[in-house]
Parts: sequence; C-alpha cells; structure tokens
Amino acid sequence: MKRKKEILDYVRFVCPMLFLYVIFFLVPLGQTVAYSFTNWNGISKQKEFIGFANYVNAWKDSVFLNSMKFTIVSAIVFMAAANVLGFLLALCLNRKIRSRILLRAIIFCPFIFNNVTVGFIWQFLLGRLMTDLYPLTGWGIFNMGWLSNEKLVLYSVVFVKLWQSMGYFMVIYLAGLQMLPQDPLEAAVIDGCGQLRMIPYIKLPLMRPTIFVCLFLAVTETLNMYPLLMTLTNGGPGHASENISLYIYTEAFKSHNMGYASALAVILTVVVMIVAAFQMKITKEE
Amino acid sequence: MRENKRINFLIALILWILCAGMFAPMIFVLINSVKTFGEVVMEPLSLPAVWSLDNYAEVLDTSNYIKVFENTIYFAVLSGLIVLIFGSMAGYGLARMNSRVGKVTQLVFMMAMMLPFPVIMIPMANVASKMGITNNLTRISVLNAGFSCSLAVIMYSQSIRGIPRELDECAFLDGCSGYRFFFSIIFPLLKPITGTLAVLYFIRYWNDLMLPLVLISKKEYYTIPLSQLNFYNQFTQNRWNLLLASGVMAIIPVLILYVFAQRTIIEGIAAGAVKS
Repeated sequence: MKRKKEILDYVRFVCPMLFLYVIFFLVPLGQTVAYSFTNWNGISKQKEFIGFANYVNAWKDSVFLNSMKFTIVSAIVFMAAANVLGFLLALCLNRKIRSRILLRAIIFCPFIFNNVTVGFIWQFLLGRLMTDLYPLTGWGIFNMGWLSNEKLVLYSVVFVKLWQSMGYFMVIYLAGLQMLPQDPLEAAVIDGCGQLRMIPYIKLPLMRPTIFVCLFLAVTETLNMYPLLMTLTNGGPGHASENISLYIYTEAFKSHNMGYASALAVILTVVVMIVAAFQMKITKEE
Repeated sequence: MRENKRINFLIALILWILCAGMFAPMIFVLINSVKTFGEVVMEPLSLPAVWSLDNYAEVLDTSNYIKVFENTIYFAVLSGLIVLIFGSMAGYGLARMNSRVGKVTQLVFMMAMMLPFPVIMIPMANVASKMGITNNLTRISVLNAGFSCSLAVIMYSQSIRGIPRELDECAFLDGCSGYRFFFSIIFPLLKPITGTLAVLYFIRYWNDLMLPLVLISKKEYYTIPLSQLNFYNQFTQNRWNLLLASGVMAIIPVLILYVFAQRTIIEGIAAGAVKS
C-alpha cells in the first residue's frame, strides 16, 4: 500500500519535470558525446565515425589550447579579485552605515544588466572613449590599447566582469557575515581581540562554507561570460581573449565543425566535473 | 558592539566615491546616446549640440522594439511558470520519498547545475529543429524550463522537507490528496521560496542570450539580448549613436523593475547562490 502510493506519487509529481529534463538536458548531453566521435558538419545527413581523432586534434590545436589557457588564467584572476573585493565590500556594508541599503543596491545593480549590452557599452568606453581621452589628458593609462593589446585584454575583460558582478559576491558574503554565530565574536571581544584582528582569526575561518561557494561561483561566472566576450572583444585581438565556451560556439555555428566542437564540449564537461567533485569533497570535509 | 562613528563616515564616503566611479562611465553613454553619429565619432567627450531623442525613435522603429519586448516577457514569464509549477511538484515528490530512487533522481537533477550551456548546445539545436521547436516561443519556453529546472527542484525539495509529513496524512484522512492537496495546501505554504525563485529565474531568462541565439532565427521572435547582438553586429562600425541608444533601452525595463523590487531581487539572488 505504502509502496504503491510512493510509485504513484513519483509518477504524478516527479515525472513531468523529469521528463522535460531528460529530453532537453540528459539526451542532448549524451548526444554531445556521440557526436564527438564523428566528423559531422551539422548540415549533411551522414556522419562518419572517426574514433578519437577529434580529441587527438584538440591537443594539436593551438587555438584551443590558447582558449583553455585564457579560461584558466581569467578564472584565477577573476576569482582572486572578485572574492577579495566582494569580501571587503561586505565587511564595510556589514557596519551600521546609514546609507548601507542604498549603497548595496547601487553596487549590485550592474549584475542584472544583460551581458551583450554591458559588452558593447564597455567596448565603446574602453575602445573609443579612451583614445579621445588621451590627447586631452596626456595620461599614459588611456593610451595602452586596453582592448587591442594581446596581453592587456585579459585584464580588461576581468575588469568589466568585476564591474558587473562584484556586487554579486558582496551580497553573498554579506549574507554569510550576517549568519555568523554571535557567541564566538562576543567571546573574542571579551578576550580583548580588536575589530581588525577579528577578521583573519575569527570571521574568515567561520566563513569557510561561504568562501567555497563564492570560489566555485567565480569559476562558473568566468565559464559563462562568453556573451559578454562576444560584444566586448569578440575573442580578439586575434584569439587572445577567446574563452573555451566561446571557441566551442564559434567552431560549431560559424565554422560548422559540429563533431570537433562536441569533442571540445566533452573535454570541458570533464574538466568542470573534476572541479565540482573537488569542491564537493572539500565542502563535505568541512 | 560599539562602532566608531568617524570610521563609519569614512567608509561610507569611500563607498559613495566607488559608486560614483562605477556609474560615471554610464553618464558618457547616456550623453552619447542622444548625439548625432558625427558628434559621437568626432567629439565623444563634448555635450551634444542639440538634445534630441531621434536615436531612440529610430531604434524603436528599426529594431521593432515593442515586439521584441513582448517576446522577451512572454519567453521569461512562460518559462518561469513552467519551472515553478513542475519544479515545485517534483520537489514535493522528491522530498516525500524515502527510497534510493528519490536520492538518485535528486543527484541526476543536480547534474545540470554546474555544466555550462555549450556542453549541450549542439545537439539541442539539432533536436529542436527536428521537433519543430525552433522559431516557436512557446515550445522554446518548454525546452528552456526543462533544461534549467535544477535549481528550482533542489530548492523546493529542501524547503518542503521542513513541512511536517503529518500534514499530508491528516489531509489524506480528510479525503484530500494528489494534485488538489498539493496545490491547495502545500503550494501556498511555499510562498517565500516561490518568490525568491520567481525573481531568480525571471532575471536569468530575461537576460539569456545563448538559448534564443541557437534556436531563434526569425526576427519577429527575437528577444532583447538577441536583438541587441544583432544590432551590434549590424552597426558596430558605423552607428554608435544608435547602438548606445538601444543599449540604454535594453537596460531600462530591468532597471525599473530593480528600483521597485531591489530588496527582493538582491536577497533572492543571494539566497539562491548560498543554497545551490
């Protein structure tokens, strides 16, 4: 009787969503793996099975390796900057400042703008406006080609991404700070611990779960910033700011190498899974 | 704890300067969006000779803004409704199960949370064109709900676990069960989490570029981000004045929503991040 009810409940409550999820997420995921062993071009009917050739080619493809490098470096730089800034801002806003609600709202605001628009607005600002500011001010900082220099473009991208989402990290850290248990903090005050020393020795260790969440979110944010890249730099100059997700999109829908792009997507999946498993393990140990 | 008022004042001052720094560039964008093209290219720093809204009128016309706006609302609201209704049902089903099947299903649902969209985008485009989903906003919304449901399912199942099972049993004895029980008794209890999720999903769908980009090719079904990308590709070299005006127009609707609901939005997004 009880078991029968459980099956019935599974069918009527879980299955509708599960059905949509399976056909629109799990099946495509499986197909990506299947495509990755073919040389399909997305248009022709036949797909030839070519084994691991796509994967072998990926290791020889300098553009792919470069996009991988860009993804990793930008993830690390962004992760460090977003977490430090987010945490500092949260510490500031956790004090009893009268305008803190308004400040929080303003700093968070760019996060809700769509990436495409943010991308071309900043292309205008960094690409066009800066070249006009240079003769006016004579400051070298305006004449460095923030979007046209292969070395600097990474920092420009991270800067725009930070402009957009540092408020996001701030808000998460703020929630973490407000959930801190009060007893250890009060005990520390009684033991004569100053406000500043409290941050590294007491607040940070207690915030570890929040920090892990934010580190992981920083990685997903950088993996998902390709709509921003599309209009900010479009991967340029050359392929200098092409992130792995953007490269997969270009290979699949611009160059029509569906098979090859699928292989790259599988590689990306494996990498993300490893990072996620690593993160889950650490969180569990906590 | 006592706080030093002077330090607080200093911190507030620094933060206000930061805010000013963050939004000063937007003033340039606003000013340039009302200039003529020549002025934008030749003197981007100066004020316009004539303040006119011609650019905005032209964007309204060429990008078919009203239609695009309607499409975006339709897409975001419909996808959101499907996710919230089916997602809450699935969350309820999972929360009330004791067997292994329930746990495995939950893990399966979690898989989509961390994978970026390019991982499934290629077959999705293919399947969608075979099933007649491309260029049909209703069907695209169903597909969209299906592949982005993870967060709703997990968050609902977590908060339904906090509702005592005795409630189910009492209602069952009173002859109320199944969908009627769920929607008349459980669902109203989930109001706070439903609000949070509604905000989260609405903003996410409103700003989503990739799914529409892969599945929509006809202009009459464009959503705002897609129309922005199209505008960008069309005008990037020669019509910065129009591009900036269209950017401002894309941001304004969500900004208006934000002004009225900033608290709910911020707290919803923070809660969503921590719980995932």
